[in-house]
Amino acid sequence: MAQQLPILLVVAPLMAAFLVPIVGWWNKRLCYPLAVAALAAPLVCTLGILKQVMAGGGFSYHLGGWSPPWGIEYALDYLNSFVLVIISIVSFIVTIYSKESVRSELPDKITPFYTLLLLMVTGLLGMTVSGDAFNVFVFLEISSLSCYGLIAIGSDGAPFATFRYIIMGTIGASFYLLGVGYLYLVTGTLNMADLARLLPQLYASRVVLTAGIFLLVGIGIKMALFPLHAWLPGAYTYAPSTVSAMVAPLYTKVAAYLLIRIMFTVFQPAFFIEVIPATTLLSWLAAIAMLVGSIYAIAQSDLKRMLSYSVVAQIGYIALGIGLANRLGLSGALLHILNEAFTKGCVFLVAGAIVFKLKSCRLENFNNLYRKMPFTMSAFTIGTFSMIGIPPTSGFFSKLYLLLGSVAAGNWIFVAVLLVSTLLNVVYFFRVIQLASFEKPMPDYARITPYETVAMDEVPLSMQIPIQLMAAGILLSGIFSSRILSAVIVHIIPKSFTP
Amino acid sequence: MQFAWFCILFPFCGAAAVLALGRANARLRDAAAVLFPFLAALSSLALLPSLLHPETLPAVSAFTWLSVPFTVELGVLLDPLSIILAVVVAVISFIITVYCLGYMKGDPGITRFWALVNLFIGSMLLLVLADNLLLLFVGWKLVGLCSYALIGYYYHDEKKYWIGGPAPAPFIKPTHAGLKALIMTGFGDMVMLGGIMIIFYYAGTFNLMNIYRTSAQWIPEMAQTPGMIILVSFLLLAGPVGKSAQFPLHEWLPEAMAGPGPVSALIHAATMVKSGVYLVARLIPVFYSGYWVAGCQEASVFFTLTAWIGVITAFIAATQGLVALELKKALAYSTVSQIGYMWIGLGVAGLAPAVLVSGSTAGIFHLVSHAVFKACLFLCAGSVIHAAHSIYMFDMGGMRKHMPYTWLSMLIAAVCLMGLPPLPGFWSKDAVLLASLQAGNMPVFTLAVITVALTAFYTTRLVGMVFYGPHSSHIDTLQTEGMPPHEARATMWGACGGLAILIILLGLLGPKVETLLHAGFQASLITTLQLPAAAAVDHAGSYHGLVTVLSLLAILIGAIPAFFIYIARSKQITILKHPTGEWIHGFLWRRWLIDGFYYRMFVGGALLLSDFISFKTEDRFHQLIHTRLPELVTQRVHKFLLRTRTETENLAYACTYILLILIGALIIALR
Repeated sequence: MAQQLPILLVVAPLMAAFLVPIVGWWNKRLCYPLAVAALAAPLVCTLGILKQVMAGGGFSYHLGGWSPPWGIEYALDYLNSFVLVIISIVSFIVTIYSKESVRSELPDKITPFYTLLLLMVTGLLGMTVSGDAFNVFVFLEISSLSCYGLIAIGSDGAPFATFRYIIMGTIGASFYLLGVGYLYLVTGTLNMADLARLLPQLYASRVVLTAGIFLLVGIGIKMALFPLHAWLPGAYTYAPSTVSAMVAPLYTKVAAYLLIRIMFTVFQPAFFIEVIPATTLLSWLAAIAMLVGSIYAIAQSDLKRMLSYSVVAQIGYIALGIGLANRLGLSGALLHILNEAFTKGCVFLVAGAIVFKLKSCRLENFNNLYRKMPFTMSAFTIGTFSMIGIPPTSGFFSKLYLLLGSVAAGNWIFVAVLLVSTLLNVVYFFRVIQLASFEKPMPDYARITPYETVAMDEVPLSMQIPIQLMAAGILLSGIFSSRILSAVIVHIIPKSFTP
Repeated sequence: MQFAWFCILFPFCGAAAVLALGRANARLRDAAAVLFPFLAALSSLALLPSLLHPETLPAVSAFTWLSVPFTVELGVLLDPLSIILAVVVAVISFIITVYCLGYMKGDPGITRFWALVNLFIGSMLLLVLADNLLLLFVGWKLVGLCSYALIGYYYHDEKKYWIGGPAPAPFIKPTHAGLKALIMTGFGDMVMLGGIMIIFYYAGTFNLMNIYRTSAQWIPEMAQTPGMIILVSFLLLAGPVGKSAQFPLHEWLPEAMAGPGPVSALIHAATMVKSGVYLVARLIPVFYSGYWVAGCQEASVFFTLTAWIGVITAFIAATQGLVALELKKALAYSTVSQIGYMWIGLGVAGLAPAVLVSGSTAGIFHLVSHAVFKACLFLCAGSVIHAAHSIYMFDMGGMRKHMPYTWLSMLIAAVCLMGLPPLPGFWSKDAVLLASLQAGNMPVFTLAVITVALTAFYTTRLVGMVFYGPHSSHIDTLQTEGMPPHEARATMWGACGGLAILIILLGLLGPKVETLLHAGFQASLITTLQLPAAAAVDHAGSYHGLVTVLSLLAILIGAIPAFFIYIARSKQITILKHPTGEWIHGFLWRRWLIDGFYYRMFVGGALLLSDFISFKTEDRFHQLIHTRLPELVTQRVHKFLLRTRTETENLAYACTYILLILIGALIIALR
């Protein structure tokens, strides 16, 4: 049984995705428990896998008994079991949350919603677990196509935003496919471990160089790295709240995982550091992304749109950590993937809760929100603190490692950029906190009357508990960041890296 | 070992439980508020046996929280010092919470009160048990915060809670008093943080045991920068000076009496103000090994400074206690003065190798006995004020008949404060005097003996004014109005009586306790840390006799006139009618003019500065920071970014960017 975990975690949501339409045709209310149950399975599986990996190092699963490089291999190591755990936890929590939110936002589309949701999670899990470059593409397309569908069932602007997303996403996926194709051309294999064995002799080949660039740009688009991010803000803003909360913490982070996988496992780290100076390019783009994303976020007046731009900025942090290509920097990037999963999950869930109660996410309607929804907003505050990087939230630690990584790389410009972007984070998040704390925008000198009484109007428990779980996740992953680092992350970092 | 963790965790759980139960059930909440300190007290008592086996100490239990970029540990350190402090804090806190059951009954903000008291107890235990300076500082600031919140507990500032006066003298409101305490101690804390940072810079660790063990290496390194050790001594002492209300930051404590009575007993007499003494005792091994092992002359400044601060404070505060009119304020001056004695003991400990152990023992022994008798005095004072409906001693008089239990407890505690045998105050005060004499520091010794006389005078005066003589007109009025003074509630006088019994026990066991402490410090300072210490001087025996005689003589000199004036009421004070006497009285009444100076200098100065800033400079800065800079950073950059077309709805631009990046990367790769 323990050996079958890698395939179980993909098959369980996939089968459930086919069951949902049948069950939903019979009774719509059963879709939700089915989806929750189907996503509990990967949670158990991924935790089991992580435990197994931590006990005995990596292991692999051969699909259908075909041994690699002919068959498809699911190769498990510290890197992907770490990301798998993140995906399964976040998707499980968000699915629990979805019940009320979907019922209020998409009352007549419950069945297709859960089908697509399960398919998307299948795709994300498959992308991460697979050790076959082409199989990754297949799962990438499964998750992307279901994601397009999920976003398109959202509010007014959604179809147009989805169209932009489809065009750009397809370009990204085709670039990835082209890259894989070129590699197959020169090596004759699609298995990642096999590629890693064969490629080092071919680093001088122009085909391999081109393949590397196509892979990089393709994943860059999927990851929404500035300036390839144009699809993201619209898509996340107009998507249904649950979808934003599912996609924002996971989708770009899985792409970041893929980037790390390609850059440091499939290719030797030296390839993207020395042969193509891609890490330099990546970190400079990341630095620009951090600033630009934050500045655009300041300019927004809709919470979800603001958070979407914040995703662009945060992707910059992860990309910077990858681009620094040293031990501290990559630790920071991996920790930030974890942090972003919880933090973005938390704030987007809160945004969903606000939409649920206020029917909009415009910042000007936020007055007195802290008194209307004290629990939700305190979770939001924790998320905010993590975004800004206030200890003991996880955001502080990931940012700390990124800072230390920049210092170790001797690049003081990145240090400055990190600090300035933190300051910009403060600006746009505290604006929300301030608006939500008071009746009127400050300063309120003219007040003579006492404050009006505001009745508490919280979201139902099925939404509240996931929000609080996410907030707890932020705090716990911050407090135990050293443990996570020493137990998992140190094993991910390539041996050749300098501190 | 785990009891140390329980000690810290129980009161924090208590604070949470009180808040959780606050709205549910009042009785359950009160029970929780007393139960958790009780459990903490039990856990602390469970630590005592290891004090009898000093070879098992020091024991450390820590887990590392962070290792990058520097190590941050959460841990507890058990050594004689921390165990003694933990026991004193936990046991007295528990007794005081029992007293609070009666004292605070029916107060509208009682949930807040209980939560803060529990939080305080937890933070204080965290402070004394922490194994590193960083964690210690966390506890340090938390107790300061609780102190602030509890001084300003009556934050509506009703007239009856004002202190100060009577009439021509100014009154102070509770919130003002809280803020004053916060600012003065906070100033010391921040300065101390600088000292901790410098220590960390040289020692490379916050862990106390590591700092001790490596001090012989890094102190000489520090000494290479002339004046650095002196600077660190000043910086590190600033925190304890603020917290323990020592000169020159002693002016907040008299006003801190604006809080509820038990709070004054708990925080501003028995525990929090001792944290400064505790920290000085913690730092002794560092500077001692710097001075006597590494031979850095500058390190002696720490000890000289400590001893002199102590004796100056003891004298100044005792003189102010002579003229105080508010009961609790008189006790506050006495607290400040007695803490000065502890500082003397700790200060002289480093001045001669022979005094290291006996000086440390004396300081901490005085801390223990003072914690007990001053807590008792304050609790009794709370009962008396409750009964007399007045904070002024001249509004009392003749209370002995109305509250016999309280009278008896307070009398025992007062005699102990004076230092009459066989009560613990006698043993510990004599130990301090003896240590300063052995260290050969005559000026400090002389001033300390004079202060003993002053102490005896103001203590007798206090007891006499409150309990003896005829009724004051205020009491008569109360009686005619049908509210005669009455004995306090059972939980209240029970707590006072318990403490009084504890005083007597501690007094009878005094020499035993001193021996125990001495053995503990011998083990922790000499055996564990291997600090060099000389054997006690051979004429110690004759010194002992001399000190006893001198201190008893001083007590008589102080107490006899006070007895005739305030208890027998057969004499009048004539000296006050003389112009010089009047001048001296005014000088003492105005607290040596120090308080007024601070108000004029810092409060007035800050107001002047704020006027200057708000009227002269703020507009321009406001323009720059709040208008121009945001415009530049966000709006202009935003406009520029919009022009780059990364954010248009037009897909053509997005695809162009993809192409640009692709082609650019290809060119770089294939060049």
